Parts: sequence; C-alpha cells; structure tokens
Amino acid sequence: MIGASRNGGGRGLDARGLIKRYSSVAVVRDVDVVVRPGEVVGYLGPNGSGKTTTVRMLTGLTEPSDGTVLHDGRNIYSDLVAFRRRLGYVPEEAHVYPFLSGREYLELVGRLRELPVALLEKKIMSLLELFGILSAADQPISGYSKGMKQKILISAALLHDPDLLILDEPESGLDVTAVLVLRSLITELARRGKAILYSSHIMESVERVCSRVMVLHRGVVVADDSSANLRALMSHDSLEAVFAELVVQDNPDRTASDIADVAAMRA
Amino acid sequence: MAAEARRLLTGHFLRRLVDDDLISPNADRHESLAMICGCLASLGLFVSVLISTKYLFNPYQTPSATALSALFDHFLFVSASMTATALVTLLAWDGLAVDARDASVLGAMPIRTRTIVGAKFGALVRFAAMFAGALNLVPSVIAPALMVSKLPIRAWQLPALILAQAVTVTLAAAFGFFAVLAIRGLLHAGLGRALFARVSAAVQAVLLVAVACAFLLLPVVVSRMNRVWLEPQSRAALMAPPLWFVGLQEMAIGHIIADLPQRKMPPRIREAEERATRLYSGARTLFPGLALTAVVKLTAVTLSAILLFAWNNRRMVPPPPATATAGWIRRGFGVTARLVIRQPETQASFFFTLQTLLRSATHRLAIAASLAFGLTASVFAVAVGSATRAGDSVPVTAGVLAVQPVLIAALLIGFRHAVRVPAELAANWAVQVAWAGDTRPHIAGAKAAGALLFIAGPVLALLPFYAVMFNLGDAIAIALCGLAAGAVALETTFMSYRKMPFACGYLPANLKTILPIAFAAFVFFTYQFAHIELAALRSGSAPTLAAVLAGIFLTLRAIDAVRRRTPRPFEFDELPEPPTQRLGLS
Repeated sequence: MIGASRNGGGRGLDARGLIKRYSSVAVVRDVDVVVRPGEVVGYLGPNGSGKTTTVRMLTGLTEPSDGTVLHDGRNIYSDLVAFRRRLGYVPEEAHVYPFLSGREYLELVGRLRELPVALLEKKIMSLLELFGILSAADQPISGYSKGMKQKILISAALLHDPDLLILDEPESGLDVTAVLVLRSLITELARRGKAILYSSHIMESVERVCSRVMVLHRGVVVADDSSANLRALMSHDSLEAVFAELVVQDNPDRTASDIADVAAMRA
Repeated sequence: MAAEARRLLTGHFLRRLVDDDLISPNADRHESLAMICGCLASLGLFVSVLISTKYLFNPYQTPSATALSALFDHFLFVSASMTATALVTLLAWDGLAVDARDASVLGAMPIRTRTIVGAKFGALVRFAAMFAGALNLVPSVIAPALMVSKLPIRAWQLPALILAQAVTVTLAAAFGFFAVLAIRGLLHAGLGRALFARVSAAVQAVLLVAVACAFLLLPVVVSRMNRVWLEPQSRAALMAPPLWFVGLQEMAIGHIIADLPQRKMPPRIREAEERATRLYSGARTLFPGLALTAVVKLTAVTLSAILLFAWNNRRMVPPPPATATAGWIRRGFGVTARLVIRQPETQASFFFTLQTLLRSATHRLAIAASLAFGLTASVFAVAVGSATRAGDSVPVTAGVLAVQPVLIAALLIGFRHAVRVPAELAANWAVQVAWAGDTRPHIAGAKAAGALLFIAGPVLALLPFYAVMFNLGDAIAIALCGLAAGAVALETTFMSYRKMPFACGYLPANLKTILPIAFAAFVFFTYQFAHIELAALRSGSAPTLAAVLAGIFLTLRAIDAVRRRTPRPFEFDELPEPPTQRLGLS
C-alpha cells in the first residue's frame, strides 16, 4: 500500500481489518479506515471495488465478516443506536419514500432523530430554502429530479448536526452550482470539527475538499495519504494520474477507441 | 420494423404489469405466478365439483330441472369471471395507461407513439386474457361435463356445452376488463390529466371496495336468483350485467338440456319436472332480449374503452408536477395531532402511518380489501342477525349491532397486515439509520393512527346510521362501546408485534394455519360482542359495558408496557425462508 500508516484509537471513526465476504468471496479485504474530527477523507475506487460495501459496514447497515469499527474508541456494534445518533449518512442511491413530500420526508427523519418540533421546522425551512427547493417542498418526492432528491438526502443527513458524516457519491445528480455549494459545505463542516468520509468517483472534488485520500482497488486499499503526498510519491501532477496508475489496468485511450469502433460497426 | 417493436414492447409491458404492478418487484415471479395459477385452478375445480354434487347425487336427474338449476350455476360462473377480472384489472389500475415511466424511457426512442400505445393495449388485453383463462379453464370443462354426466346427451353436445360456457365466461371477463378500462378512460378524459392524477387513487379504492364486495356477496346473490327468473316483479334485476351473459349462454345451448326427451319417472318427480318445465319456459322468453343486451353492451363498452384509451394516450406527455397539497385542513390537523402526541418519534410514526396507508398503493389495497371484507360481512351480519331476531319486541337486533364490530375488526385485521409491509423497501435505510433503538414510540404512533382511521372513523360514520335506526342516546352508547371494544381489539392485535411498523422486510405469514383461526375468532368475537351489546342496551347498562371495556383496554396496555420493557432484537432486512424450506424440501 502506498502512503503513511496510521495509529488506532482516539476520536473519530477508526475501522480496522474490515473484511466482507459474500458466499465465501471476499469483496472487501483487510481495509482500515481512519477519519479524525476536522478531517475529510476521500474514498476513491473504480466501479465494483467495494466502496459502497465499506461504507455500509461503516454505517452499521452491513455487518463486517471480520474486523472492528470504532467511533470515539467504542465499537459501533456494542451500541449501534448511540453511534447512529451521531452519524449523518448520504447513500449512493437516492432511495426515499416517493409518496412523501420533501418537507414530510425531512419531518419524518427529524422526528425519528427526536428533534424538537420548532427547531425541526426552522431547520427544514432553512435547508430547503438554502438548497433552492423550497417551492417544491410540498410536492411528492416521486416528482423530484435526481438532484432534488439528492438535496433532500443531504439535508436529512445534516438535520441533527452529526459528528460523523459519511457521504457516498453525494454529488450524484447535482448541478454545477449545487456541487460548488456542497464542496464549500464539506470544507466548512470539517472546519467545525466534523469527521467526514467522502466516497466519490469525481477526482476534482476529492482533490479539492479532502485532506487525505484512500484508494480502493478490488476490495483492497492500495493508497492512503494526502493528495499532495500521493502526487509527490508517484511523480504525477494530478490525482487523476495517480488514480489511473494505481487502478486502471488498460489504456483508456485504446479502450475508448475500441468502443468508438464498435459503435461505428455497420452490417 | 414497427411490428417487431410492437411485439417487443408488448412483451415488456406484459412482464412489467405482472412483475412490478401486480407482484412485488422483489418477489420471485415464477413462484408467484405458479401459486396464483394453482390457486385459481384449484378454486375452479373445487367450486365446479361442489355445485355439481346436486346433479351427481340426484337419483332422478331430469332435463328441465337441470336446465333450471343450471341457470344459477351459469350465473355464478359468469359473475365470478366478470367481477374477478374487474378486480384484477383494478389492482393494475396505475398500469392501465402509458405512464410517466413509459414517457421518460420510450419517449426518446425512434418509435411512433401509436406503436407504443398499441403495444400497451395489447399487453393489457393479453394480461386480462391470461387471467380469465387461468380462472375459467377448469370450470368450463369440468362443470358442464359433471352436470350432464347422467343425462342422455349426444356426443357433439358436450363439446358444445363446454365451448358455450368457455365463450360466455370469457365474454363476461372481457366485459369486466373493458368496463374498468372505460371508467378509467372516461374519468381521465373528463377530468383532465392533472385532476385525474389527484383523484385516481381514491377512485381506484372505491371501485376496489365495490367490486370486491360484489365478488364476496356472490354466494348470497346466487342463492336469491330464483326470484329474478320466476317473479315478474323482481325483473328489474335483469339490469345486472351477469344476467345478460347468462341469457346469451342459454340462447346458445339452453335447449340442449331443456329439450332432452323425458324419461319414465315417479309421479312426485314428474310433478316437479313439469313445474320446472313451466318455469324454464317462462324464463326462456327473456333470453333473446338478454343476449341482445349482452352483445350490444359488450360492443359499446369495448369500443368506448378502446377509443378512450387511444384518446388519452394520443400524446406521450410526462405527468404534470404535482401541486402543493399542504392546505389549511392538513396544517390544522398536523398542529392538533402534535398537541395530542408529544413525543417526536411517536409523532413521526403517527404521521408516517397515515401517509403510508393513504398514499402507498400496496397499503391502500390492503385496507380496501379489508374494508370490502368488512362491508360484505356486515351485510351477512344484518341478514343473519335480523332473521334470527325478527320476533323481538325491542327494535334492536344483534345483526345490526354486529355491523360496527365486524367493520372495525375487518379494518384492524387489514391494518395489522399493512404495518408488516414496508412502505418502500429500498428506503428502509432512512428509518434504520435514524432509529433510536426503541420500538415502543413507533408502535404507539402507528396504533394511534390506526385508532383514528379504523376505530374512530367507522364509529363516527355509523353514528348517524344507528341514530336513525334507534335513537341518539342508544347511538352514542353504541359508539362508546365501539370505541372501547376497538381499542381492546387494537391493543390485542399488536401484543405480539415487536418490529418497526412499515420499515422492516415483509415475511409472509403461514396463512394455512392463521387464516382459519383468525376467521373463526373474527366471527365468534364480533357476534358475541353484538349479543352482549344487545343485552346491555336492553338493560340500559351500555355505559357500564363501555367502562368495562375501557378498563380491559387499560389493563392490556399496562401488560403490554411491562412486556415491552425488555426489547427483543429484530432484523430490519430479515429475508423469508427460501421456497425449498417452506416446502420442507431441505
């Protein structure tokens, strides 16, 4: 693995030796994830590399086959509820209750989080307004665009002011303005002491907002360091080039050319 | 090219109709379809054999008596085919038109709109035909064969009887299918896309309840059909669509049995046979008119359905965005509910229960089915209870009083089932992640919503009925008893429930064991309660009964609170056993 090794224990999220097997096939192998308060850790990897599986283990939605997940030094599985009270999570897929309106969905989540009604209403209105979807607040989510659903999910993850944020592809479906807002939001939240795990495919975002980057390939962490260190270590001037060297097996230009050739085939 | 696209799209639409709209997208399609077909075939076989016993065990089966009796059998098969097909069509209500998914996915394809619309229509017709075939195949063959097994018919006459029955029940199924399609199309065309989208779910629920009631009441209706044929003053009932198709069938093959040569028979049987001959001859005069009505009305309904379908789907337009619906009534209700229910998690569960039950198609369906069952059972209750209490000096009957507990119990059974079904399986994570580890406030919220909808709702709806039937004082006493008894029933049904309402994977119950017990308990408790209530009303102690029930409710609640102090672990995403284990093959 390329990058610095990290010490265990302490505050924030600390997962060690995570393994997940499905029918004896390990899709995640011996993965360590450490996210300290105030830190934004980028979690990169190609499709099917095990990112979402890792994220689901870190949120407690999937139990690891082996390994431990500590939050502030305590195993999250010893009191999953207490851990989730401090967790904000944006999943990869925008699965929400389609028959609820955006406001109703946030009310549901806020009440489940036991937020006082007055505070909850204030937060919901403010978040909807700041994300630019207040006019659609009372429309059913089934009529929302992907970006609008994503804004609802991000709002829901922030409602209870969590200590730990796990964001799985949070930029999915967002427009340029919203992406810029999101990047600034993540930086601001980290500045306020939140520990943030940011799983994404988008190198530019990861490079801009993350203080440290982990690269997962075929279920194994192949790099874990700051973006600058990784660039220096691997003598590349961009994170994209580092990522390409670590995980891209084929020549992308050649693959692209082959795809174009297939598309141009005639009978 | 268009034909190939139409063929592909028809297959796609048909699969989606069966897979997504009718069977849960997470269920095994083959297993579900095999189970549905098996149930329909065995039900058809059972009913065919059951109604044929009157022919099989009749030592003197005679032609006219058989022809007369066959009228009732034909009515049963025709009505069942018509109402069952209408019911299934109603279940697929949202899939009965080119919808938003089609517009967004296929709208960008180089396919003509009419090809897509034609494929959709073709898929719907195939879907209805498949269902009608599975429902009617066995009875169409077995019932005529058993009916004439002891009669001296010619070789070609049995196939003619089978064919006539198959054609008639298929036409009846077509009428049921096209009638639903035409009603939907008419509403869509009349109200416009936006307004229709708002009322569609309510219309579906109302039609479901009405057709399900008609289906469940079939045995009662069939047993009273003799009046229609034999009493001229009852012939207003000839307006009933199933009778048109019975007339059509009798026109085609009625003479085969009725005109069979009479054999030597004892005088008593001969007398009955002569009476049956007279009665059937009288009914025969009605068949041409009924047959003509069947043909005309079926053609009209079919053409209307096709034209309305074509008109409504002439453009592939994505549905307009839903308008804001947070009116002052809803806001007022929300504020009131929040004042009554203080705990945030209980509030969350209360509102989520109301939203899910009223807006989720699956849950609405469960409630509509239980309401239909409740209404049907209420009709039975009134009929049975009134008959046994006819000589009473007090104008209160146990049957009439049973309407309230029957309705509440049926709705609570539906509600108890509905809470086990996830509101949206893929979105369960949201509740799972936000859950604070205690199911009690969630179950309390769900129960509060259930009490509002399924106890207070029916009690208030029946209050004017009882006030008119009896007097306001008795009606209030009955309402109080209903509220208290409903609360006891709700508390009892939730005693064993330990999961998160609407947010856990659905595990099917063992209906073979539960259903007979539940049905027996339902009949026993509702009727016993009605009799106790009747005695209390007669003795003027109805308020005492309500107080006793309230005491039982509070006791049950206290017991439940103690039992729930120790939380039991449960899985949000618990999976059902694989089919091999359910069948005991592993």
